[in-house]
Amino acid sequence: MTRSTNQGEIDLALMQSVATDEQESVGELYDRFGSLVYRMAYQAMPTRAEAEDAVQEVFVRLWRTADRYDPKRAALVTWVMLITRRHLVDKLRRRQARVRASSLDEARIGQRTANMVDSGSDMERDERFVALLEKIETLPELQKTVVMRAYLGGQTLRQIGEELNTPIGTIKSALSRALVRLRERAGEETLA
Amino acid sequence: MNTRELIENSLLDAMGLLEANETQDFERAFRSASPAVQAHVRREQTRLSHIEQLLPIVEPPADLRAAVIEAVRQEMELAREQAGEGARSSVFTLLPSSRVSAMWHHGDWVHDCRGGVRHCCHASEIGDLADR
Repeated sequence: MTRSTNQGEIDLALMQSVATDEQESVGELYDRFGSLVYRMAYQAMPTRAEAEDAVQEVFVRLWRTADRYDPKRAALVTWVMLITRRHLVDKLRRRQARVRASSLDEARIGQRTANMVDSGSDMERDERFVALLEKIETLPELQKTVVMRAYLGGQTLRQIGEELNTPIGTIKSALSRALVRLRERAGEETLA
Repeated sequence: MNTRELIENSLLDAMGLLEANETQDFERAFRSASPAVQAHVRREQTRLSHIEQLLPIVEPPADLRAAVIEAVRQEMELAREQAGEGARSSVFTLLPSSRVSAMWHHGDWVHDCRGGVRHCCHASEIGDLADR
């Protein structure tokens, strides 16, 4: 039996246990992924308090969907990231009713970063976030725009396509390529 | 959906950027893909977790673990209470539930009951409803 199969079985057993309301297993799930979920929430939410609320909501969502987890379909880390991102995207989209998407336009990246520092945001000392923005800045124009609006802003791909007057297939391809580039750069940094 | 589109959508899926109908299309295409392509999609999605390296280096506050467990415990309790009330109101009615069927694993068609009206829908739709 391969190592990955073993890990798949361990992950499945954990999620089955979470699905049967085992609180200890929820603790175990948090111990494995709490930091990842918090970091994702911290990146997406404007304040620590909102990030902490989001983490609690994500784990409730993970409990609700635990019996859907299939290790053949995705590794548990992918599943956790998916549920987390969906939740954060939902929250960002609700927030969008109040904040115009244009504030996330690539032309305002510098302004946005400066605003965060000026406003004393929790992220003001976060060099990683600035580094991420810098990496996004190096992407080709369309990829940069799409990744800012979708990945950080939570806009739907359809919305982006309509606003940019670009076919949704092109938007999807651009975003997919941008994610691969960011992933590769992150991988390079890990190896460096 | 060809293999290139499947891979493309798999990245967007992993980042939670697909709409509900697109997710269903992706799930269907994934299920009908060959085991080799499925394995490739799975690897691509897992590799996306490298993006984690770009996330801020922050540690969650120490008391967040207890808050998370308490939040889930309260939801569990609420679900049990609702299930109890449902059982008392009618022994013949299936309970509306936020939980989803394990049949999702097989992509089977299942029966679900919401608001006392029985209808048939795909398990992935139930999952999507439960998700939101």
